[in-house]
Amino acid sequence: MSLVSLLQEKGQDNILHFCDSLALARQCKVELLEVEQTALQHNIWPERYLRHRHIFSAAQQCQLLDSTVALIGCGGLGGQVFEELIRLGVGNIIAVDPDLFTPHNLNRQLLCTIEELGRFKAQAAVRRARAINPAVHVTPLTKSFSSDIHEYLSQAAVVIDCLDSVGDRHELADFCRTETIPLVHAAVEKWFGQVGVQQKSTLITDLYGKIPKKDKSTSPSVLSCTVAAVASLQVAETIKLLLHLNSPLTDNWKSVDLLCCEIEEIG
Amino acid sequence: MQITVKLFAFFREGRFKVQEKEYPDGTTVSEVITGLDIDLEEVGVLMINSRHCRFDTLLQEGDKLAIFPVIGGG
Repeated sequence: MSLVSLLQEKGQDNILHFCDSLALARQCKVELLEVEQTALQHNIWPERYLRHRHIFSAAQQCQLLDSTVALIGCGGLGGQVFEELIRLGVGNIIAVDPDLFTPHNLNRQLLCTIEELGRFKAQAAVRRARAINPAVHVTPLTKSFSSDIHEYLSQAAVVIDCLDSVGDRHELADFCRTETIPLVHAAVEKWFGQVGVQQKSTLITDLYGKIPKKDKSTSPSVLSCTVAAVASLQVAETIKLLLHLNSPLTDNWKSVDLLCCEIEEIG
Repeated sequence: MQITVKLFAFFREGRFKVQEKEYPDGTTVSEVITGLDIDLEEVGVLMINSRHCRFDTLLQEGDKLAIFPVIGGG
């Protein structure tokens, strides 16, 4: 029997139970992602996405599964963004980070566990996806953002800036403008953050100046709640870009202040 | 002249969110910032009446000056 016939048999109530997805992938010798995509093409919802059903159409959920995004930085913002992307079902994630986890990452970096200390952050993303949503393809790159990873990033529909260096942010923004890939920027410090989307604008230059200011010699203090709040705004913008939904944040940015409970539109 | 100064993020710590202040004619944006004991190196975006401006921009009566710090952490 073909995958489609088996799906129609298993998904009679328009729901594909998780154990059936796994069994069908094994039986038809295809990847789990393909099983879920094929199911959605026939309006059968994989069980794990049932609570998206009144938010996205099956076609939109399938579009997320088909999408490729590049996540630049897998630390605080990057770890939280990654978690939300895999649970949303963004099917292909290029996870870039040259660093290893250290104990001072434990306060806010979701991918950092005691077991992961001393290991590459980008590799931890692969293990997290396997534990939460094994259908997602993760390409880990344990490298800094530089020209030798440009070919990977060119495949991305959206690039997500979770970097911690102003200099690298300028370089990434220039790359995205040249390649005409939308860039979802965010940054955090203490209780505060900012989030914005660069499509045609010069967002990063507007935020940080033409000549990069020297990065602070000490790493900024950041709270886990700031990271989660700002990363969630970043993910919302990413989803809207992938699904071609309008956003007031396109070529604009917002300042986030968790102490005053304010999100202020700037442009 | 009266200027409304709006501070954002950690520039608010130990200062204020919004304040109307009196400045002499010919005051520049950088003079307001240094007068608030803010290091110019820490300043990211500067706006007058929601438009980008520079350190050497001259302020006018009734202007609303917004001062944002550089936020760079990930």
